[in-house]
Formats: sequence, structure tokens, C-alpha cells
Amino acid sequence: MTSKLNLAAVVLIAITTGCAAIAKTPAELNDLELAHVAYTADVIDIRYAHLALAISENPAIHEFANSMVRDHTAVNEQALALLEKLGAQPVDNFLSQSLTTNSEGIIDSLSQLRGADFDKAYAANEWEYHKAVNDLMENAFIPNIENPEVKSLFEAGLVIFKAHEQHAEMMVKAVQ
Amino acid sequence: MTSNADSSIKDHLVEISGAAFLPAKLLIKVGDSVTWINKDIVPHTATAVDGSWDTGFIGSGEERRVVFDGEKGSAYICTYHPSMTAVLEFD
Repeated sequence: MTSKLNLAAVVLIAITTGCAAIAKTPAELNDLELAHVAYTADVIDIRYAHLALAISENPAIHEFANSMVRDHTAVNEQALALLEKLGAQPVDNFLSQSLTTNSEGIIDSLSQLRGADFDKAYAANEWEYHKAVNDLMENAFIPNIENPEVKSLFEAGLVIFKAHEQHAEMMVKAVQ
Repeated sequence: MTSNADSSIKDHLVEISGAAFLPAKLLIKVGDSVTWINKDIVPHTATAVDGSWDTGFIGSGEERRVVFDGEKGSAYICTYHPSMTAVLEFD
């Protein structure tokens, strides 16, 4: 179920439907909009993790979820510190809004599950989510970031998020 | 304790950067110590797979040192990111 909740599809829908009027794709977002997307994506994964910590009884799921809270919180703290240093504010945009709307549906779906069903769905969603966000970061965001400090933080974050993607893949196989 | 013994003991450095242990394979002797320096933006650990030693939490910019006073488990991981693996080889 949640494995079908692919972020890439959400992005495509956002681009090709109501948001098309804004005439922006992820690659066209400016640095402050990208900072908002990244911050939002971190917050979303932290919300998924808190849900997992509340519902799952699997220690491996708890370890993963705690890592997601720890890492995405750390990255967001550094992002906010950098924005403060630059005297800038993140700018809300179509992609942040689409991600948030999509995540609310996923949280509703995950909330209905218990036991192994929840663990499998949470793990699958984490794998899909990190694959999709990492693909966006690597191919749409980072090549278009202008500020070198912002680019450096995105690059450092991507390395960590790729480790999350590998960890999520390991978890998907472990809960089968 | 003799000066000869002291001079044979080394403190090795392992850098944690890009979600990897660098070097991924390190040759040490009993009595040596290893210091892990975390240059990533998130916390890590260096933890023996067999549980025989553990740096515990290493925050961004922090370092932790472990003294190997006997041969211990050689394969280790970051428990927060298990795809990060490395090996200590005892000479």
C-alpha cells in the first residue's frame, strides 16, 4: 500500500496539475525555496518516525526511527543556523506544499496499521521516500543551488540520506 | 612500564566523513588506541559487531578514543547507520 505512495509521483502530479500554473519544476526552485523543501522533507520524515515509535513494537524499527529523528533534526538545526547566518528566510512553495499534503495521507494510512503490517508499510515508505528525495536532491536541487554554503550543506545531507536509504532497504528486507 | 613499551604504542586516527570510516581497514596492535573523529553533520558511533567495544555517541565535530588492551572484535559499524562498516585488524 504505502510502497505505492511514491514521492516522485506526487512531484509529477504537482507539476502537471494545479501547480502547473506557477510554471515551476523542482529544478527551477531558488535556493530559499529549496531550503524550505529540504526543511519540510526533514520534518515529514521526523513525523513518520514519531508515528513508528508510537505504533511499532519492533526494536529494529525503533532504532531506525530514532536515527531518523536524530539525523533530520541535526540537519535542520544546521540549515536554520546557516539561514540565520545568511540573514535569509526559507520560502514556501508548491513542492513543500505537495510534500506536506502527501505526507498527511501517508500518515493517515500508516495510522490504521498495526504489528507486522505497520512495520512493512513503514519500512517500504521510508525506502521509497528516501529514494525519491535523494533523487531530487542529487539531480534537481544540488546542480541548481547558487550559494556555495547552501550547496555544501545539501551535499553533506545527501551523503547521510543515502545512508538512510541503504538502512531503509536493509529494514525492508528484515521485516519481510 | 618501560620507555620501549611506551614508544611501541600508537594512537591511530579514523575520520568519519561522508557516512564512512576512513580508513575502512586499520592495522593495530594490542595496547594501541584508536580515535574516531566525526566530521559529518550528524552523530555516529563506532561499535564492534560482537559488542566487545563501543565509542558510544560521537556528535558532529566530536571525537572518541578507545584503548585496545586486548584483541577484541574487529568488525565494527555505526549503530545509527549500519551500512557504515569497517574493520580493525590486530597485528
